[in-house]
Amino acid sequence: MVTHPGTAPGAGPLYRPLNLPRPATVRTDARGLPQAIADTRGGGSAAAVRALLDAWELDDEWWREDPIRRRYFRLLLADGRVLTVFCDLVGGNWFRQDV
Amino acid sequence: MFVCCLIISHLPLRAERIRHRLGPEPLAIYEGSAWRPQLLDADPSLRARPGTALSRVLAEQPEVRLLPADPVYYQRCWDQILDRLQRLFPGVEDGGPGCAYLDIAGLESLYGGPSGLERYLREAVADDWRGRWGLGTGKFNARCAAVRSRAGEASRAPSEPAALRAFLARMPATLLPLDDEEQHLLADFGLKTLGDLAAQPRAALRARLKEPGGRAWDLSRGDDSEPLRPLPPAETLAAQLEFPFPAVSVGAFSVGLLTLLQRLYRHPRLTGRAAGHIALTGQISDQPTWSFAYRFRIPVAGAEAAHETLLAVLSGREPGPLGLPGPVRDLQVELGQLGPAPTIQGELWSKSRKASLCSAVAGLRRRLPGEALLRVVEVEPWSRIPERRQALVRFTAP
Repeated sequence: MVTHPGTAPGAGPLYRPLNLPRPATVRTDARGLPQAIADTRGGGSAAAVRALLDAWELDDEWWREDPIRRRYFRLLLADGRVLTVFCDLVGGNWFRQDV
Repeated sequence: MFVCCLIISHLPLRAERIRHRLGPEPLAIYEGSAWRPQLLDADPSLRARPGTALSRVLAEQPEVRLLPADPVYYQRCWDQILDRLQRLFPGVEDGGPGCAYLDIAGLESLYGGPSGLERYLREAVADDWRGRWGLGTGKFNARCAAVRSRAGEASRAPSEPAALRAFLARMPATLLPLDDEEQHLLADFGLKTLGDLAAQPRAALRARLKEPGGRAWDLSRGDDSEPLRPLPPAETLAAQLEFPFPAVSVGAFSVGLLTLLQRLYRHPRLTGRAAGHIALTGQISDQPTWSFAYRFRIPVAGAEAAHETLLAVLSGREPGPLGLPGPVRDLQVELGQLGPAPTIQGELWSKSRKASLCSAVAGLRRRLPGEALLRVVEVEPWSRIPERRQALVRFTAP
Protein backbone atom coordinates (compact mmCIF):
# COMPACT_ATOMS: atom_id res chain seq x y z
CA MET A 1 0.00 0.00 0.00
CA VAL A 2 1.21 3.45 -0.81
CA THR A 3 0.29 6.08 1.71
CA HIS A 4 0.10 9.64 0.58
CA PRO A 5 3.07 11.50 2.07
CA GLY A 6 0.78 14.25 3.29
CA THR A 7 3.46 16.89 2.90
CA ALA A 8 4.43 17.24 -0.74
CA PRO A 9 3.31 18.78 -2.94
CA GLY A 10 2.76 21.70 -0.67
CA ALA A 11 3.23 21.27 3.02
CA GLY A 12 0.78 22.66 5.54
CA PRO A 13 -2.70 21.87 6.75
CA LEU A 14 -5.26 20.83 4.18
CA TYR A 15 -8.04 22.74 5.81
CA ARG A 16 -7.55 26.03 7.61
CA PRO A 17 -10.35 27.79 9.39
CA LEU A 18 -10.72 31.47 8.62
CA ASN A 19 -11.30 34.29 11.05
CA LEU A 20 -9.97 32.55 14.15
CA PRO A 21 -10.18 34.66 17.33
CA ARG A 22 -7.00 36.68 18.01
CA PRO A 23 -6.01 37.40 21.62
CA ALA A 24 -6.66 40.98 22.69
CA THR A 25 -5.80 43.03 25.73
CA VAL A 26 -8.91 44.77 26.98
CA ARG A 27 -9.34 47.00 30.01
CA THR A 28 -12.81 46.77 31.50
CA ASP A 29 -14.82 48.68 34.05
CA ALA A 30 -16.44 47.28 37.16
CA ARG A 31 -19.36 45.93 35.12
CA GLY A 32 -17.06 44.07 32.76
CA LEU A 33 -17.64 46.47 29.85
CA PRO A 34 -14.62 47.32 27.66
CA GLN A 35 -13.02 50.69 28.38
CA ALA A 36 -9.84 50.52 26.29
CA ILE A 37 -8.15 48.14 23.84
CA ALA A 38 -4.40 47.77 23.58
CA ASP A 39 -3.32 49.09 20.20
CA THR A 40 -2.70 46.08 18.03
CA ARG A 41 -1.00 48.16 15.31
CA GLY A 42 2.24 48.29 17.24
CA GLY A 43 1.99 51.71 18.81
CA GLY A 44 1.89 50.33 22.31
CA SER A 45 -0.74 52.79 23.58
CA ALA A 46 -4.29 51.78 24.42
CA ALA A 47 -7.19 52.97 22.30
CA ALA A 48 -10.07 54.21 24.40
CA VAL A 49 -13.58 53.03 23.69
CA ARG A 50 -15.78 55.95 22.65
CA ALA A 51 -19.04 54.06 22.33
CA LEU A 52 -20.44 50.60 22.71
CA LEU A 53 -22.35 49.99 19.48
CA ASP A 54 -23.73 46.54 20.18
CA ALA A 55 -23.44 43.63 22.59
CA TRP A 56 -24.66 40.05 22.32
CA GLU A 57 -23.96 36.64 23.74
CA LEU A 58 -23.17 33.40 22.01
CA ASP A 59 -23.87 30.18 23.89
CA ASP A 60 -23.33 27.11 21.75
CA GLU A 61 -22.25 23.49 21.93
CA TRP A 62 -23.06 23.42 25.63
CA TRP A 63 -23.53 19.67 25.30
CA ARG A 64 -19.88 19.14 24.35
CA GLU A 65 -16.70 18.85 26.39
CA ASP A 66 -15.56 22.33 25.29
CA PRO A 67 -18.67 24.50 25.25
CA ILE A 68 -18.60 27.90 23.55
CA ARG A 69 -19.75 30.82 25.69
CA ARG A 70 -18.82 34.29 24.52
CA ARG A 71 -19.96 37.86 25.15
CA TYR A 72 -19.39 39.98 22.06
CA PHE A 73 -19.03 43.77 21.94
CA ARG A 74 -18.99 45.95 18.87
CA LEU A 75 -17.00 49.03 19.78
CA LEU A 76 -16.34 52.46 18.34
CA LEU A 77 -12.84 53.50 19.35
CA ALA A 78 -11.66 57.02 20.05
CA ASP A 79 -9.64 57.00 16.82
CA GLY A 80 -12.75 56.23 14.78
CA ARG A 81 -12.15 52.55 14.19
CA VAL A 82 -14.91 50.01 14.73
CA LEU A 83 -13.80 46.79 16.38
CA THR A 84 -15.48 43.58 17.56
CA VAL A 85 -14.14 41.86 20.64
CA PHE A 86 -15.47 39.12 22.84
CA CYS A 87 -14.86 37.81 26.30
CA ASP A 88 -14.59 34.05 26.51
CA LEU A 89 -16.88 33.32 29.44
CA VAL A 90 -15.31 29.90 29.95
CA GLY A 91 -11.66 30.94 30.14
CA GLY A 92 -12.10 34.64 30.94
CA ASN A 93 -9.79 35.85 28.13
CA TRP A 94 -10.50 38.53 25.54
CA PHE A 95 -10.27 38.13 21.78
CA ARG A 96 -10.76 40.16 18.61
CA GLN A 97 -12.78 38.73 15.80
CA ASP A 98 -14.40 40.03 12.64
CA VAL A 99 -18.07 39.26 12.64
CA MET B 1 13.32 -19.88 4.08
CA PHE B 2 14.06 -17.32 6.76
CA VAL B 3 11.13 -15.75 8.47
CA CYS B 4 10.57 -13.09 11.08
CA CYS B 5 7.47 -12.98 13.24
CA LEU B 6 6.20 -9.76 14.78
CA ILE B 7 3.87 -10.02 17.74
CA ILE B 8 2.17 -7.00 19.27
CA SER B 9 0.51 -8.25 22.43
CA HIS B 10 -2.58 -6.44 23.65
CA LEU B 11 -3.01 -4.51 20.42
CA PRO B 12 -6.26 -2.79 21.54
CA LEU B 13 -4.60 -1.71 24.77
CA ARG B 14 -1.56 -0.30 23.00
CA ALA B 15 -3.72 1.43 20.40
CA GLU B 16 -5.74 3.18 23.13
CA ARG B 17 -2.62 4.14 25.08
CA ILE B 18 -1.15 5.71 21.95
CA ARG B 19 -4.40 7.42 20.95
CA HIS B 20 -5.08 8.95 24.38
CA ARG B 21 -1.39 9.36 25.32
CA LEU B 22 -1.97 7.40 28.50
CA GLY B 23 0.65 6.62 31.07
CA PRO B 24 1.19 3.27 32.78
CA GLU B 25 -2.08 3.46 34.73
CA PRO B 26 -4.12 0.21 34.76
CA LEU B 27 -6.41 0.14 31.75
CA ALA B 28 -9.23 -2.13 30.63
CA ILE B 29 -11.19 -2.11 27.39
CA TYR B 30 -14.71 -3.46 27.38
CA GLU B 31 -17.19 -4.45 24.70
CA GLY B 32 -20.62 -6.01 24.46
CA SER B 33 -24.06 -4.88 25.41
CA ALA B 34 -24.73 -2.07 27.86
CA TRP B 35 -26.35 -4.42 30.37
CA ARG B 36 -23.57 -6.98 30.29
CA PRO B 37 -20.28 -5.43 29.21
CA GLN B 38 -17.32 -7.75 29.17
CA LEU B 39 -13.59 -7.42 28.92
CA LEU B 40 -11.94 -7.23 25.50
CA ASP B 41 -8.42 -6.47 26.69
CA ALA B 42 -6.75 -5.42 29.91
CA ASP B 43 -3.37 -4.80 31.42
CA PRO B 44 -1.70 -8.08 32.39
CA SER B 45 -1.31 -6.66 35.90
CA LEU B 46 -5.09 -6.89 36.30
CA ARG B 47 -4.95 -10.66 35.78
CA ALA B 48 -8.28 -10.62 33.96
CA ARG B 49 -9.03 -12.66 30.87
CA PRO B 50 -10.92 -11.39 27.82
CA GLY B 51 -14.60 -12.22 28.19
CA THR B 52 -14.66 -11.64 31.94
CA ALA B 53 -17.69 -9.64 33.08
CA LEU B 54 -16.75 -6.03 33.62
CA SER B 55 -18.53 -5.95 36.98
CA ARG B 56 -16.15 -8.60 38.23
CA VAL B 57 -13.10 -6.68 37.02
CA LEU B 58 -14.36 -3.52 38.74
CA ALA B 59 -15.08 -5.39 41.94
CA GLU B 60 -11.47 -6.58 42.10
CA GLN B 61 -9.80 -3.46 40.64
CA PRO B 62 -12.01 -0.42 41.31
CA GLU B 63 -9.28 2.06 40.31
CA VAL B 64 -8.90 0.71 36.77
CA ARG B 65 -9.51 3.15 33.90
CA LEU B 66 -12.18 1.87 31.51
CA LEU B 67 -12.50 2.56 27.80
CA PRO B 68 -15.11 1.28 25.35
CA ALA B 69 -13.78 -0.92 22.54
CA ASP B 70 -13.24 0.63 19.11
CA PRO B 71 -12.59 -2.36 16.82
CA VAL B 72 -12.55 -0.28 13.62
CA TYR B 73 -9.78 1.87 15.05
CA TYR B 74 -7.75 -1.16 16.14
CA GLN B 75 -8.05 -2.67 12.67
CA ARG B 76 -7.04 0.67 11.13
CA CYS B 77 -3.94 0.76 13.35
CA TRP B 78 -3.06 -2.79 12.39
CA ASP B 79 -3.60 -2.08 8.68
CA GLN B 80 -1.26 0.90 8.95
CA ILE B 81 1.41 -1.29 10.55
CA LEU B 82 0.98 -3.86 7.78
CA ASP B 83 1.20 -1.12 5.14
CA ARG B 84 4.49 0.05 6.56
CA LEU B 85 5.85 -3.49 6.76
CA GLN B 86 4.84 -4.10 3.15
CA ARG B 87 6.91 -1.12 2.09
CA LEU B 88 9.95 -2.40 3.99
CA PHE B 89 9.90 -6.16 3.37
CA PRO B 90 9.50 -8.20 0.19
CA GLY B 91 6.78 -10.44 1.64
CA VAL B 92 4.40 -9.88 4.56
CA GLU B 93 1.76 -12.33 5.76
CA ASP B 94 -1.03 -11.10 8.00
CA GLY B 95 -1.35 -13.53 10.90
CA GLY B 96 -4.34 -11.64 12.34
CA PRO B 97 -4.36 -8.43 14.39
CA GLY B 98 -1.10 -8.23 16.31
CA CYS B 99 0.76 -10.94 14.39
CA ALA B 100 2.64 -10.69 11.09
CA TYR B 101 5.21 -12.85 9.33
CA LEU B 102 7.92 -11.23 7.23
CA ASP B 103 10.10 -12.70 4.55
CA ILE B 104 13.60 -11.66 5.55
CA ALA B 105 15.61 -14.05 3.36
CA GLY B 106 18.79 -12.29 2.22
CA LEU B 107 18.22 -9.16 4.29
CA GLU B 108 20.85 -10.03 6.89
CA SER B 109 23.75 -9.46 4.52
CA LEU B 110 22.04 -6.35 3.21
CA TYR B 111 21.88 -4.75 6.65
CA GLY B 112 25.36 -5.66 7.85
CA GLY B 113 24.78 -8.86 9.78
CA PRO B 114 22.41 -10.09 12.50
CA SER B 115 22.57 -7.00 14.70
CA GLY B 116 21.97 -4.69 11.73
CA LEU B 117 18.95 -6.71 10.67
CA GLU B 118 17.53 -6.74 14.19
CA ARG B 119 17.94 -2.96 14.40
CA TYR B 120 16.18 -2.60 11.02
CA LEU B 121 13.32 -4.76 12.29
CA ARG B 122 12.91 -2.83 15.54
CA GLU B 123 12.84 0.46 13.65
CA ALA B 124 10.13 -0.83 11.32
CA VAL B 125 7.43 -0.34 13.97
CA ALA B 126 7.21 2.56 16.43
CA ASP B 127 8.52 1.79 19.93
CA ASP B 128 5.11 2.61 21.45
CA TRP B 129 3.73 -0.62 20.05
CA ARG B 130 6.26 -2.65 22.04
CA GLY B 131 6.56 -5.22 19.25
CA ARG B 132 8.29 -8.52 19.93
CA TRP B 133 10.33 -9.98 17.11
CA GLY B 134 11.30 -13.58 16.50
CA LEU B 135 13.49 -14.97 13.73
CA GLY B 136 13.50 -18.54 12.56
CA THR B 137 13.73 -20.89 9.66
CA GLY B 138 9.96 -21.15 9.48
CA LYS B 139 6.85 -19.30 10.58
CA PHE B 140 6.15 -21.41 13.67
CA ASN B 141 9.75 -21.33 14.86
CA ALA B 142 9.83 -17.58 14.39
CA ARG B 143 6.57 -17.23 16.31
CA CYS B 144 7.98 -19.25 19.21
CA ALA B 145 11.06 -17.00 19.21
CA ALA B 146 8.84 -13.90 19.22
CA VAL B 147 6.87 -15.24 22.18
CA ARG B 148 10.17 -15.66 24.04
CA SER B 149 11.31 -12.11 23.19
CA ARG B 150 10.86 -9.21 25.51
CA ALA B 151 8.82 -6.23 24.33
CA GLY B 152 10.76 -4.13 21.85
CA GLU B 153 13.44 -6.79 21.34
CA ALA B 154 14.24 -9.58 18.91
CA SER B 155 15.34 -13.15 19.51
CA ARG B 156 16.17 -16.10 17.30
CA ALA B 157 15.16 -19.72 17.17
CA PRO B 158 18.23 -21.91 16.54
CA SER B 159 18.59 -23.17 13.00
CA GLU B 160 20.54 -26.33 13.89
CA PRO B 161 17.93 -29.16 14.20
CA ALA B 162 18.93 -30.57 17.59
CA ALA B 163 19.24 -27.11 19.16
CA LEU B 164 15.91 -26.12 17.61
CA ARG B 165 14.17 -29.17 19.08
CA ALA B 166 15.60 -28.34 22.50
CA PHE B 167 14.46 -24.72 22.10
CA LEU B 168 10.94 -25.73 21.12
CA ALA B 169 10.61 -28.42 23.78
CA ARG B 170 10.12 -25.80 26.50
CA MET B 171 7.44 -23.88 24.64
CA PRO B 172 3.76 -24.29 25.65
CA ALA B 173 1.59 -26.48 23.44
CA THR B 174 -0.99 -23.68 23.32
CA LEU B 175 1.14 -22.04 20.63
CA LEU B 176 0.24 -24.78 18.16
CA PRO B 177 -2.26 -23.89 15.45
CA LEU B 178 -5.06 -26.08 16.87
CA ASP B 179 -8.66 -25.21 17.63
CA ASP B 180 -10.04 -25.02 21.18
CA GLU B 181 -11.35 -28.58 21.18
CA GLU B 182 -8.00 -29.98 20.04
CA GLN B 183 -6.18 -27.87 22.62
CA HIS B 184 -8.47 -29.19 25.36
CA LEU B 185 -7.73 -32.73 24.24
CA LEU B 186 -3.97 -32.14 24.50
CA ALA B 187 -4.46 -30.66 27.96
CA ASP B 188 -6.58 -33.64 29.02
CA PHE B 189 -3.74 -35.94 28.00
CA GLY B 190 -1.30 -33.86 30.01
CA LEU B 191 0.60 -32.67 26.92
CA LYS B 192 1.54 -29.19 28.08
CA THR B 193 4.73 -28.44 26.15
CA LEU B 194 5.94 -29.04 22.64
CA GLY B 195 8.50 -31.39 24.19
CA ASP B 196 5.65 -33.49 25.63
CA LEU B 197 4.11 -33.64 22.17
CA ALA B 198 7.36 -34.46 20.37
CA ALA B 199 7.91 -37.40 22.72
CA GLN B 200 4.70 -39.07 21.48
CA PRO B 201 4.54 -41.29 18.39
CA ARG B 202 3.38 -39.28 15.39
CA ALA B 203 0.90 -41.97 14.43
CA ALA B 204 -0.83 -41.69 17.83
CA LEU B 205 -1.38 -37.97 17.46
CA ARG B 206 -2.50 -38.33 13.89
CA ALA B 207 -4.94 -41.08 14.86
CA ARG B 208 -6.44 -38.89 17.57
CA LEU B 209 -6.39 -35.45 15.94
CA LYS B 210 -6.22 -36.38 12.26
CA GLU B 211 -4.21 -34.10 10.00
CA PRO B 212 -3.82 -31.23 12.53
CA GLY B 213 -2.32 -33.71 14.99
CA GLY B 214 0.31 -34.84 12.49
CA ARG B 215 1.16 -31.25 11.67
CA ALA B 216 1.36 -30.31 15.35
CA TRP B 217 3.83 -33.16 15.89
CA ASP B 218 5.95 -31.96 12.95
CA LEU B 219 5.96 -28.40 14.28
CA SER B 220 6.86 -29.52 17.78
CA ARG B 221 10.01 -31.14 16.31
CA GLY B 222 10.96 -28.06 14.29
CA ASP B 223 9.76 -29.39 10.96
CA ASP B 224 8.04 -26.26 9.71
CA SER B 225 7.51 -26.26 5.97
CA GLU B 226 4.43 -24.08 5.72
CA PRO B 227 5.18 -21.36 3.20
CA LEU B 228 4.77 -17.67 3.84
CA ARG B 229 1.65 -16.41 2.11
CA PRO B 230 2.36 -12.75 1.38
CA LEU B 231 -0.42 -10.23 1.14
CA PRO B 232 -1.04 -9.20 -2.44
CA PRO B 233 0.59 -5.88 -3.23
CA ALA B 234 -2.49 -3.75 -2.73
CA GLU B 235 -2.08 -0.48 -4.52
CA THR B 236 -3.95 2.09 -2.53
CA LEU B 237 -3.59 5.73 -1.72
CA ALA B 238 -4.61 7.26 1.57
CA ALA B 239 -4.76 10.73 3.04
CA GLN B 240 -5.95 12.03 6.35
CA LEU B 241 -7.31 15.32 7.60
CA GLU B 242 -7.87 16.53 11.13
CA PHE B 243 -10.72 18.98 11.37
CA PRO B 244 -9.89 22.18 13.25
CA PHE B 245 -13.19 21.67 15.10
CA PRO B 246 -15.29 18.50 15.17
CA ALA B 247 -17.34 18.65 11.96
CA VAL B 248 -20.93 18.80 13.13
CA SER B 249 -22.47 19.74 9.81
CA VAL B 250 -22.74 18.15 6.41
CA GLY B 251 -21.01 21.24 4.95
CA ALA B 252 -17.83 20.86 6.98
CA PHE B 253 -17.67 17.13 6.35
CA SER B 254 -18.25 17.66 2.65
CA VAL B 255 -15.48 20.25 2.34
CA GLY B 256 -13.06 17.99 4.22
CA LEU B 257 -13.94 15.03 2.04
CA LEU B 258 -13.53 17.02 -1.17
CA THR B 259 -10.19 18.41 0.00
CA LEU B 260 -8.86 14.92 0.68
CA LEU B 261 -10.15 13.57 -2.62
CA GLN B 262 -8.55 16.45 -4.52
CA ARG B 263 -5.25 15.77 -2.81
CA LEU B 264 -5.40 12.05 -3.61
CA TYR B 265 -6.42 12.53 -7.22
CA ARG B 266 -3.46 14.87 -7.73
CA HIS B 267 -1.05 12.15 -6.65
CA PRO B 268 1.25 11.08 -9.50
CA ARG B 269 0.18 7.46 -9.09
CA LEU B 270 -3.39 8.40 -9.86
CA THR B 271 -2.75 10.80 -12.70
CA GLY B 272 -4.81 9.68 -15.66
CA ARG B 273 -6.10 6.70 -13.68
CA ALA B 274 -9.23 5.89 -11.74
CA ALA B 275 -10.16 4.38 -8.39
CA GLY B 276 -12.66 1.56 -8.11
CA HIS B 277 -12.99 1.46 -4.34
CA ILE B 278 -13.06 3.99 -1.54
CA ALA B 279 -12.94 3.58 2.21
CA LEU B 280 -13.67 6.34 4.70
CA THR B 281 -12.89 6.21 8.39
CA GLY B 282 -13.43 8.94 10.91
CA GLN B 283 -12.93 9.48 14.59
CA ILE B 284 -16.25 10.49 16.10
CA SER B 285 -16.53 12.45 19.33
CA ASP B 286 -17.46 10.10 22.19
CA GLN B 287 -18.20 7.27 19.75
CA PRO B 288 -16.31 4.36 18.22
CA THR B 289 -14.54 5.04 14.93
CA TRP B 290 -16.92 5.37 11.99
CA SER B 291 -16.17 3.62 8.74
CA PHE B 292 -17.73 3.36 5.33
CA ALA B 293 -16.57 1.50 2.23
CA TYR B 294 -17.97 1.77 -1.26
CA ARG B 295 -17.20 0.18 -4.59
CA PHE B 296 -17.85 2.51 -7.50
CA ARG B 297 -19.94 0.99 -10.27
CA ILE B 298 -17.62 2.65 -12.78
CA PRO B 299 -14.08 3.55 -11.65
CA VAL B 300 -13.93 7.27 -10.92
CA ALA B 301 -11.11 9.38 -12.30
CA GLY B 302 -11.84 12.74 -10.68
CA ALA B 303 -12.16 14.14 -7.18
CA GLU B 304 -15.37 16.07 -7.87
CA ALA B 305 -17.09 13.05 -9.42
CA ALA B 306 -16.05 10.82 -6.52
CA HIS B 307 -17.23 13.46 -4.04
CA GLU B 308 -20.61 13.82 -5.72
CA THR B 309 -21.13 10.06 -5.82
CA LEU B 310 -20.17 9.58 -2.19
CA LEU B 311 -22.41 12.34 -0.90
CA ALA B 312 -25.30 10.87 -2.88
CA VAL B 313 -24.65 7.40 -1.42
CA LEU B 314 -24.13 8.66 2.11
CA SER B 315 -27.16 10.93 2.08
CA GLY B 316 -29.48 7.94 2.32
CA ARG B 317 -27.75 6.47 5.35
CA GLU B 318 -28.80 6.47 9.00
CA PRO B 319 -28.32 7.57 11.75
CA GLY B 320 -27.80 11.29 11.48
CA PRO B 321 -26.83 13.28 8.41
CA LEU B 322 -24.78 11.17 5.97
CA GLY B 323 -24.96 8.29 8.42
CA LEU B 324 -22.52 10.01 10.74
CA PRO B 325 -23.28 9.13 14.35
CA GLY B 326 -21.71 12.34 15.72
CA PRO B 327 -19.21 15.16 15.13
CA VAL B 328 -16.24 13.97 13.07
CA ARG B 329 -12.83 14.82 14.53
CA ASP B 330 -10.72 13.48 11.70
CA LEU B 331 -11.30 11.82 8.38
CA GLN B 332 -9.21 9.33 6.44
CA VAL B 333 -9.87 8.50 2.81
CA GLU B 334 -8.33 5.50 1.12
CA LEU B 335 -8.67 4.87 -2.59
CA GLY B 336 -8.15 1.35 -3.86
CA GLN B 337 -8.43 -0.77 -6.99
CA LEU B 338 -6.48 1.78 -8.96
CA GLY B 339 -6.57 1.19 -12.67
CA PRO B 340 -6.97 2.80 -16.05
CA ALA B 341 -9.58 5.50 -16.30
CA PRO B 342 -12.75 4.57 -18.15
CA THR B 343 -12.91 6.06 -21.60
CA ILE B 344 -15.11 9.11 -21.66
CA GLN B 345 -15.76 11.00 -24.85
CA GLY B 346 -13.98 14.34 -24.71
CA GLU B 347 -15.40 17.73 -25.57
CA LEU B 348 -15.22 18.71 -29.21
CA TRP B 349 -14.16 22.29 -28.56
CA SER B 350 -11.58 23.08 -25.93
CA LYS B 351 -12.44 25.76 -23.43
CA SER B 352 -9.57 28.12 -23.91
CA ARG B 353 -10.36 30.20 -20.81
CA LYS B 354 -10.36 27.15 -18.60
CA ALA B 355 -7.14 25.94 -20.18
CA SER B 356 -5.40 29.25 -19.68
CA LEU B 357 -6.55 29.39 -16.07
CA CYS B 358 -5.23 25.87 -15.47
CA SER B 359 -1.95 26.88 -17.04
CA ALA B 360 -1.71 30.01 -14.88
CA VAL B 361 -2.44 28.03 -11.72
CA ALA B 362 0.16 25.43 -12.63
CA GLY B 363 2.73 28.16 -13.29
CA LEU B 364 2.04 29.91 -10.00
CA ARG B 365 2.23 26.64 -8.12
CA ARG B 366 5.67 25.97 -9.56
CA ARG B 367 6.91 29.42 -8.59
CA LEU B 368 5.37 29.75 -5.14
CA PRO B 369 6.45 27.49 -2.29
CA GLY B 370 4.08 25.41 -0.18
CA GLU B 371 0.36 26.00 -0.05
CA ALA B 372 0.50 29.49 -1.53
CA LEU B 373 -2.60 29.17 -3.68
CA LEU B 374 -5.65 28.86 -1.52
CA ARG B 375 -9.30 29.59 -1.91
CA VAL B 376 -12.07 30.38 0.51
CA VAL B 377 -14.89 27.88 0.73
CA GLU B 378 -18.17 28.23 2.55
CA VAL B 379 -18.34 25.59 5.28
CA GLU B 380 -21.13 26.58 7.61
CA PRO B 381 -22.13 30.05 6.42
CA TRP B 382 -25.13 29.99 8.74
CA SER B 383 -23.06 29.20 11.84
CA ARG B 384 -23.29 31.51 14.85
CA ILE B 385 -19.61 30.83 15.50
CA PRO B 386 -17.69 33.13 13.13
CA GLU B 387 -14.63 30.89 12.65
CA ARG B 388 -16.82 28.02 11.49
CA ARG B 389 -18.29 29.85 8.50
CA GLN B 390 -15.44 29.74 5.99
CA ALA B 391 -12.20 27.84 5.55
CA LEU B 392 -9.18 28.01 3.33
CA VAL B 393 -8.43 24.98 1.20
CA ARG B 394 -5.86 24.41 -1.50
CA PHE B 395 -6.80 25.97 -4.80
CA THR B 396 -7.26 23.47 -7.57
CA ALA B 397 -7.76 24.35 -11.19
CA PRO B 398 -11.36 23.99 -12.40
